[in-house]
Amino acid sequence: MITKSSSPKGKIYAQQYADGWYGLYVYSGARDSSRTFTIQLNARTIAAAQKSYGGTFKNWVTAIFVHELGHGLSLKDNPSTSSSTIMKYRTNWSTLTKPTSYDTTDVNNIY
Amino acid sequence: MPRTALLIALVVALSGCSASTGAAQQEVFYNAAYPAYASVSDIGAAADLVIEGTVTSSEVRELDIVMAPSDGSSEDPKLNPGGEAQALPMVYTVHTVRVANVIKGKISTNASIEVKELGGLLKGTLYRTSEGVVLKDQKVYVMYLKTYDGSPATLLNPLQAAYPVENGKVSALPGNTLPPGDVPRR
Repeated sequence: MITKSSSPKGKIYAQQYADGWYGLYVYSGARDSSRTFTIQLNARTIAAAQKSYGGTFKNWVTAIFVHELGHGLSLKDNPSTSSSTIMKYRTNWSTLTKPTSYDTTDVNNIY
Repeated sequence: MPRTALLIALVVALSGCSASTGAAQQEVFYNAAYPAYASVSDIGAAADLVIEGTVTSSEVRELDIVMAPSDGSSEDPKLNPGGEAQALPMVYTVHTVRVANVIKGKISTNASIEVKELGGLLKGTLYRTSEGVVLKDQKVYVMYLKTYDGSPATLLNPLQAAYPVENGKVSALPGNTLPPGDVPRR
């Protein structure tokens, strides 16, 4: 369940960062209600990538945000599979904006 | 446009989830999403600097890498989605690299440059990434770097942008499928 709060344990920031990543999921604590996290979206790299590789800015942001939410569900980067997955690094992130059946299965296996 | 800070806050309650992680020490995890490159030439084209150099020292620091919107981007909602920049210090291992060869970019041979990687141990807390800190002291690498005003450079990604050089031979880091033979030398 996702709700809004004025004093959340999770926060999302969108601004420009001096690093090469598109998005960053930072967390500490166990996988229960004690976990705190931030999601940071790098507007600088996302805008530059959209310009270089095409696709819409909205799809780029959506894909990276969904990827970071995948971390929130304990999914890891670059799973060892040939299947399509929102968790893999790729050149044009805008072409996949939703979790795949592989991702859904992965989450169900964890929980 | 109004310059109110964008802060979307969520509380995620995952009902029915078990707490299966039993952390024995204080840890913070960084999961970063990086661009991937299809070829060595692609990563070379994206880099500001391509150098061969030796990591002479490393230290862990807390850095604020938030960039204030530049004049040209302050009214662009894509580049400046949140209005005023909000400081978010993060922990980096900052390497000093002595440049042996310059393959691309403006830096002198024998100059030193700082290169930062996410993560490290600071004040009793281990800041971890899935790749770990890939550059090791006293080792030689060909590095594909992005540079920034007022902040150390970064590898373009932690998997494809560093190539160890040993006895003159270039290799790839584990998991990097790009052919190290394509890495240019000077």
